[in-house]
Amino acid sequence: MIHKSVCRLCKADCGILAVVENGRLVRVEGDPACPLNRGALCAKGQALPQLLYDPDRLDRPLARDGGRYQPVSWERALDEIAAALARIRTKYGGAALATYEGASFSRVNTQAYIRRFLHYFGSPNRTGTESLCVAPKYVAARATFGPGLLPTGDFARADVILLLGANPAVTAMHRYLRAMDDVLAAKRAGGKLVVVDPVFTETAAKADLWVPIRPGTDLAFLLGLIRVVIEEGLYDRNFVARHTVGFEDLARTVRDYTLETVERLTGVSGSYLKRVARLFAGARRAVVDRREGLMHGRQATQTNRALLLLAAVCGQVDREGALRFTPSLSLNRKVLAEDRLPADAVFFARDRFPFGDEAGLLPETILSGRPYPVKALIVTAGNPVMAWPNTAKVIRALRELELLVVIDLYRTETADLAHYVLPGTTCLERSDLSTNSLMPHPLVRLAGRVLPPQGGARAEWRVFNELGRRLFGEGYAHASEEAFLEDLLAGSGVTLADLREKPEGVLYRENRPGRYLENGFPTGSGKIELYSHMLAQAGFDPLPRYEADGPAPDGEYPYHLITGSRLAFYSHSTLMNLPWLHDLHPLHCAEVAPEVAEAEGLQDGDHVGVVTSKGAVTLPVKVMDDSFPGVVLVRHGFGHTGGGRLAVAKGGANVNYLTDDLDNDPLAGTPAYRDRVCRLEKVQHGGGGQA
Amino acid sequence: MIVLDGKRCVGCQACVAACRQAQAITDGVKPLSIGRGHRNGRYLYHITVCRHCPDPGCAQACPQEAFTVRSGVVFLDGSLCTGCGLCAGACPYGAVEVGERAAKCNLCAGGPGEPACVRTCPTGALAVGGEGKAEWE
Repeated sequence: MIHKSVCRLCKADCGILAVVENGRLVRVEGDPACPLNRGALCAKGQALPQLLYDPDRLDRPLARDGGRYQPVSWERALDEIAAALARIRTKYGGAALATYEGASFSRVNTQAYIRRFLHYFGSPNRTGTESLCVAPKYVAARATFGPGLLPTGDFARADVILLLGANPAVTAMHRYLRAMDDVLAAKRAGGKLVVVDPVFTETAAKADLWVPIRPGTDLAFLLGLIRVVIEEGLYDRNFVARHTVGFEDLARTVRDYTLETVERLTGVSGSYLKRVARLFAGARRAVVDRREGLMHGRQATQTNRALLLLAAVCGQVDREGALRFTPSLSLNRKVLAEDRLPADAVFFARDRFPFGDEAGLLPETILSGRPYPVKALIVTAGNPVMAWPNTAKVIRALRELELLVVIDLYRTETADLAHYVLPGTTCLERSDLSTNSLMPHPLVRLAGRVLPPQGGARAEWRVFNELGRRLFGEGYAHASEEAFLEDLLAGSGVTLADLREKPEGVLYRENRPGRYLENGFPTGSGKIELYSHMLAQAGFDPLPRYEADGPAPDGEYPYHLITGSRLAFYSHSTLMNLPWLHDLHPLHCAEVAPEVAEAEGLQDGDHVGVVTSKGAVTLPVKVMDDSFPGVVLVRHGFGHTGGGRLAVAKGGANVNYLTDDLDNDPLAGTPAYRDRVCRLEKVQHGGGGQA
Repeated sequence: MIVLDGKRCVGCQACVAACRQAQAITDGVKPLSIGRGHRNGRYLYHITVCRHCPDPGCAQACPQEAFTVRSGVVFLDGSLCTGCGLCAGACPYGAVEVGERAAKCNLCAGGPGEPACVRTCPTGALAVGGEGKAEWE
């Protein structure tokens, strides 16, 4: 029997064919009929059978009893968790509970049922990995185009593709697996690819022009591009006049970013800057796009704003071969039970960051008790110990909690700090809704269950539904996962029956470019806001300006440190326990620029301590093929002490011992994971380590 | 044989995982592998995989007669293999790997459609081609 479903090991949501024989999954492959992956599947998806049948998976709930974990029944675990939650709510109020969802788990339906649970409880404190990851682009898009519009590059039809801090060869842009295929197709059709990145990446290697840039300075580079485009009269006058507001303000702001200034700030020569500006502005159809390199800087939101403004002044918005908008599916908000939330409930980090729900601020909040106590945390398929910045503080904070519940496939590092560990499901054992307006198609699919939960696992939805039933009574609960999805879809124009009938998905709306140019944008002015009224009203700079106010390399910490770069065969800290994948990246290393290796007398295989103001890790050295001078890159997700035997055996070090939880983008709150400084200390002994 | 278009390859290793799934390999063996070199601002990708030689050394070296040549495809029957490794030593291309048992590319003979690695590649970098193709068709 062949089941059509959706791989949810990352956000690309590839269509899959899952072959089941005698109740056992025997094979998974890409679905040729899916428009997103067109039959392809990455290494992660290929390994789904090994994830499903991993012998290291948890198979029953565990409760901490002193220093040890004892297996307990589901009923007992849920009874005890519900009782503990009720006690905490009575003592501290509903807002003392927070939740966190891991990257691959979070979907529209999971967010909805977790919000529903929290709202009934009286808490506004849902967090997810998007706060650590993509929040700046959401805020920038909202400030520029209005709520709900997320631009996505129309690569296949572009004459010029300008990418900043993006490596679609590895990440698929977080959108659809064939993104790089479309970029390469545009190139084969005569298009030009320009990649701006401090590091020589797999995508830079395919570019017509690779522009190595000083980490953390993309904003200055973008403002320099806009200055050239305006001063040389290369911008789209007609588009600017008809569809934007604030052009004069922008033109005044960018005047300071001369070729010389930008060269001094970014390390990119003025002739390169001019060349890129002319190429981009001269193209009939051009995409400027970005990924995490532009999310994890100290001015991430303003940098993303500048990128959108470059596209706007060149008229490359809401057109074919430019930045386009895929409309999102309207879901039934009643499911969220927002009316249950007290009117005065405010997200715990709102006073620090007006526009983002930053998960990485939880440790600070837990430890300080400000602005109010947070005493309980439910983590679903996430791993704060590996993912959040400043690991030593994360561990200290999680130990302070009165209740930590972790739902996961494995006994992870975070599970080892929990009071209760509940065995969760793979994406093949639960049903989700797959829809994402970053995809090129307005597609909604039932990412349906292929097999029932294995061993003693239970679908995560059921855990929240059962806890809700215990805490809030029968009126809270839904009869089944499907009934919940049906409720969520009510009023969307698509029913669960439609989705069952068409497992390849339903296109819920026409997706023609030009809709917003004709009908106006959902901003206050109805136009693209080069000058953002939203930011002005919140007391922030309505125009992007580069401010070099963070820690720069100096005598104590002479090098740039970039953390967070991804690999194509793991999803963050997950999937390293699978035999088909675990050896594809043989060794976790400190990757150093060739010129750093020379200055420090380092060669491949030497060991170094990478030291920041937050901590130190020891790793083998790998000299990068090419890079902006002074760069050290350490990937995240390694250094497991839990999560299965192979994952632990993989070694390496948890790079978040080096990162800072309180150095963030001021608007979205996202940590500056990729804009750090470090020093290197040569060590004699081998092996990885962290402290 | 499986051929690689280095202009399209990005080194994502989807093909390696697909091959491991197709052959149900559990011991870290790679019947195909993708290597990478760096020169003149480019990555050069190359594939190590069975070339389906007309007179294969692996077959001659195998004491179990686990290798057969069928319609131009050198086919290894893993169930006959004892893991002695003589085949790997005899292959001039390093295209046979030995873990508990030997494994190599059988061009997914008997499977549906094109080989698993070709179908799964996200950039369309792999194809059945070269000399093996004429004999395979």
